[in-house]
Amino acid sequence: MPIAGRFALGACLALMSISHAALGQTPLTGILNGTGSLVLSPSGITFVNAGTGTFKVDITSTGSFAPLALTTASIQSIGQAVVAGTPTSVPNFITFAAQPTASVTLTLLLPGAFTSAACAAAPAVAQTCTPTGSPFSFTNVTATSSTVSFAIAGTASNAGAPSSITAVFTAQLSDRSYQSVLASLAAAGSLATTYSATLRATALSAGAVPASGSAR
Amino acid sequence: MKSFLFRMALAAGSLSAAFVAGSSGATVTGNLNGAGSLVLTSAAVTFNNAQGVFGIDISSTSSFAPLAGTTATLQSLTLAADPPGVPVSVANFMTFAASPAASLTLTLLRPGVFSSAACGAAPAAGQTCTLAGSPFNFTNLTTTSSMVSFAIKGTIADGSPPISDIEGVFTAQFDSNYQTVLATIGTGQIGTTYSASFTSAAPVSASVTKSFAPANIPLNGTSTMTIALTNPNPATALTIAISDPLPTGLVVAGTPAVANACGGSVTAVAGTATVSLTGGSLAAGASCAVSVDVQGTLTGVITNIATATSTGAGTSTGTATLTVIGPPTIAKTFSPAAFILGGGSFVTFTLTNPAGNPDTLAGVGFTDILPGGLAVSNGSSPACGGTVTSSAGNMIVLAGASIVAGGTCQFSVPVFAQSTGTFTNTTGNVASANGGTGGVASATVVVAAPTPIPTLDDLTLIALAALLAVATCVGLRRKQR
Repeated sequence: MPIAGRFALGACLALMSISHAALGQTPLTGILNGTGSLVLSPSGITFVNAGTGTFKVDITSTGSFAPLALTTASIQSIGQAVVAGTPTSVPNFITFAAQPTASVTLTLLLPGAFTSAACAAAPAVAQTCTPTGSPFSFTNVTATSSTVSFAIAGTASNAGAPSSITAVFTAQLSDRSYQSVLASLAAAGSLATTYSATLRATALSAGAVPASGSAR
Repeated sequence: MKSFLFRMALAAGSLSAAFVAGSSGATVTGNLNGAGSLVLTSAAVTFNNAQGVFGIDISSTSSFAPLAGTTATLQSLTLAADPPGVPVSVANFMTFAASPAASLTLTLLRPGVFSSAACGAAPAAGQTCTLAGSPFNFTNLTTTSSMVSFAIKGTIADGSPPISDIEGVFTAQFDSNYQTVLATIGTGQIGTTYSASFTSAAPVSASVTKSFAPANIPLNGTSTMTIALTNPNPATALTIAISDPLPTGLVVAGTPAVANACGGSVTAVAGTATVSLTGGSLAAGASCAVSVDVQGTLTGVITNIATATSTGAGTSTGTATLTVIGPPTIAKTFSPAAFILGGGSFVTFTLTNPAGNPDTLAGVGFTDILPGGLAVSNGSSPACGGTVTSSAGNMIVLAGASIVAGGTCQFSVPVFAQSTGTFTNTTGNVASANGGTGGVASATVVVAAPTPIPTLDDLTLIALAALLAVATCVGLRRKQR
């Protein structure tokens, strides 16, 4: 191999080494922003992991996630086995197409932030609702449109380097109040919409126990 | 929070198809779901339109389904120029890379729905906040995470009318509570992702409200028929046509008195059974009315339906009923129909609410003046729910009577004769308050002179007395023997 070629190869290996060190061998830290689509149904939350609905890492992501911008991640569905407010463990809840060494384990689906007092009221602007035992926080933006959000906590591992994570998901329904959403779900219907999500990863020191649900 | 500015730069993409291939100009309906990223500052929300461009999701439906996987562009908005809650018109607020003829015009940035009471409170889960004058609805999901939403409305068309109304909701989230978000954007910025959903509904037909005033008329009377139209679409003008075939028993009045506030041309020819409007127009959210006088030619409850056709938005109907009531009828008889002078008779009146009349006749009355030679005793008494009054010695007046649908009523008044002869008596027209004026009734009574008692002249009476005296004497003598 010519000297120039050896130099180029060496440079490439060095850059790859630096990149790997940055992305593959350190705890995940920073903000992960992304969007995708999901389906709400009585069986839970099904994240679309194919085509245009796949979670796409946004350019606004920071820290460890900045290099993942415009790549995709897969998110496991959250079924009825995951109970809001009860510690759980769902390994590989989130995995990254461009960072196979990294994954997120879901450890807690946080309870919704509101009460159930207005869940069955006649639809009106500014109503809020969290059905009893539900992770969802519903708001009526108008009498015929609503938002829904939920939060999770968990841990992340990047080639064994641990992090704690918290994440928030938000979605919206422009054609129905949350009362209509709840009625649809009660009637075994399903609702598809887009969501956006923000995940914060904080590095954990060796032996540290990640907090789960302490945000409330 | 200071005013916000929305900006979205142009997105790249091919410009090759209508919402539905080859159907530019079709009504735009369905749900549009998508997501992108934005940067929030105290003065603006800047949508990332390069690598965070609004991507249209496969969960989009109807007109938007073919756009899945393509992108859309949103124009910038300045809150100072387009404050929340104030109608605006921002053309091309959203355009579609894959459907260049289509565009969304923003007409309203909705005000936020929460109060500002908890905007400065210590962070807690479940708190909500909308700063005064802001379109944003903040919620703390935990003490360290929050979300924001805002809503818009507008119109959307695929190149040309029909125009559909559209509602949109945006949501985004932060990894800090909203108190921190508000503090941060006061001096800096926060980047995050958002998702949005829009619902476009096809324009709907103008609603029709039909009425008759008055709603009850006497037979052959007139009523003003009004067809009121309301455009329920908040942003879509409609071109209107009305078809109103009048049912049997209803025609356009001799003087139609047409009034038209709907534009276009009204056809309503006297004596015909058709009222129509062509070429009418109705602005978004506006109302107008067409009115025509009609005549009821048959008794009964007449149901009339008007149909409004809104070009490109379907039809709707309005129904009203008109009650047409015929007058009462009257008959009279004398019983007995003949009597000796010095005697008397009863005149009996029979009033009828004719078959087919749908309602009670009210305010029924008439006057009957007896011809000379006949008389009544003055006084009054109840009759047929009203009062019959005899006065002036020869006048009978009924007033305030009522007769139920299909019913009759009857009353009698004693009549005396002042002279002999044959008397034909005709009443005045019987009338009612709600059924108009009916006919008259006639009857004849004969008053005869009394038959004379046979009498004897004086000589015959003297002879008869003498004969009786002789017979008496003879009888007494025989008794003495």
